Amino acid sequence: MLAVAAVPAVLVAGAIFDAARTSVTPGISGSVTLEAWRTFAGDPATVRDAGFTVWIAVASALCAAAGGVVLFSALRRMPRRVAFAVLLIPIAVPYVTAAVLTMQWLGADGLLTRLVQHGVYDPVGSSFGIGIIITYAWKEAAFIAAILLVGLTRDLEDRETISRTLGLSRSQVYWHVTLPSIARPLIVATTLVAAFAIGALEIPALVGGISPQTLPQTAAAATAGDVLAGQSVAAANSLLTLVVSIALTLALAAPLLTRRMRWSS
Amino acid sequence: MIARENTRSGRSIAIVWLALVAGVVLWLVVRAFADAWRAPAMLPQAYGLYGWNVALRNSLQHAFVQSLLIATIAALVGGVLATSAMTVAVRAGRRARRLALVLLVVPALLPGTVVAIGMATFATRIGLQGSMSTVVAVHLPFVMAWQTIVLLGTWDRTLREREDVAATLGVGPVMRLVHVTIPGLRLQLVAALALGFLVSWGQYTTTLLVATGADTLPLRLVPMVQSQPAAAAVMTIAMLVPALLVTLVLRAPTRRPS
Repeated sequence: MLAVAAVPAVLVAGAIFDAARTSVTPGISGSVTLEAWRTFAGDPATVRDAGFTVWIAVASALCAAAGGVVLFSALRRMPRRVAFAVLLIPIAVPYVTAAVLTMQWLGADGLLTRLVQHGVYDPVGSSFGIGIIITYAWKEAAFIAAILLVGLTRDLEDRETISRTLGLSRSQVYWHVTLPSIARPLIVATTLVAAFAIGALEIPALVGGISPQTLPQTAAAATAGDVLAGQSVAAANSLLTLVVSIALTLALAAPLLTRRMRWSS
Repeated sequence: MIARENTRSGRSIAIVWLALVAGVVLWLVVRAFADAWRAPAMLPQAYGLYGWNVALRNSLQHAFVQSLLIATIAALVGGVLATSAMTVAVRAGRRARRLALVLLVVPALLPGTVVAIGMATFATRIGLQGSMSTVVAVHLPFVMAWQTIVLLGTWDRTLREREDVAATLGVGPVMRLVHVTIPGLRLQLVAALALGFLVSWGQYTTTLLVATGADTLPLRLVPMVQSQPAAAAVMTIAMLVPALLVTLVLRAPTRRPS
């Protein structure tokens, strides 16, 4: 039965292998060529789009982490049922719906623009991906706060009380006791958010601009024209996304990997 | 003192948050019944069922049923596989357990595009391109990863002891699973199934890349957002309702002791 654990890994490994194969064997002839990689690497937009993808992932994850810590701090002393009821709503909202909700609030003819009438910045379609970052931030902040709440132990409160009794100010307690205690789950959750943001298409497609685009957007666009050649370029694109994703995951999770964290909760 | 201040700020955040959610849901409902709503007016110029008609003409019902079916199958299959694997993994040696967990959870860290594109070419080769089974298969690694995360740590000592007692009394592995493990994990299993459903229900990237012609709600919704805002609002409501209903079965975990 333990072999069942390998089912997703086999599916994923098979998919990665097939993506690699498709990237070097376009069409139905089956002959090996690096044409798709040349096309993809030769496109000046590729580096820009890869950089934009990393920017979106890192900025979204960090904003969501900041929001998650604020939510966690505000909700941690509330009854668990109430705190989770508040957090589960954004977690349950599908990503595509989250993007629509951002548009309804902050878009050119959204609620905020209608309320304020003029002078409102429209983040939807921003070339800096502000709309994308805002969407990930509000949706994933709740996820990060939920992870932090699940990992919360009773002795954190005791340690905070002892520190206050010993004369530490509230901010000192927060920086030296609270944050170190939640660092490990915070890093894990932030890494998960960044990893998802790198490979997701729906939010950039709805609230992103025309240019630059994220790598998943260009991969999807590649298959829209010449299906066979496009599929090879899309496969090459997705493999680059995978490499970027692994590199970013390792970079974000480096504190967990490189040293034993002193602060585990 | 600190606790009281934090509770008060927590309550304020909860109220503001729920007000924002209620506000945007109300806005969506008004949008769904607005035949004409030009900016900067705060209320629509004309009400009607245009959005509903467009959504129904674009086979909203079919897409809804398809999405429901795919998400249910993916959640159930993923739930059975993840539970079976975890049942054995918790009793295996430390290395085997770690390996099993890594194999189950790692897909959550991988970009959906690479999995979907690779699986799409494989599905085309075996003639299953765009089929429901392909869509379920591409959702499965992500569904199982999140279900495993929910199930992690739920096999506590008491449950393992109960399983041991049952084994000592001669109960076979299948009967042990049915009569001891599953009842002992009922709440976590329901949470895992609910989360699996949500993960599959919202999948857009993988479904689009693996099965361009698939008829699911997210795939129907995206092209409507810019061109048909009223119909998009109807579809957004259709996507939100099951998702919010499913959250009702997700229970808050109790506070961990130190």
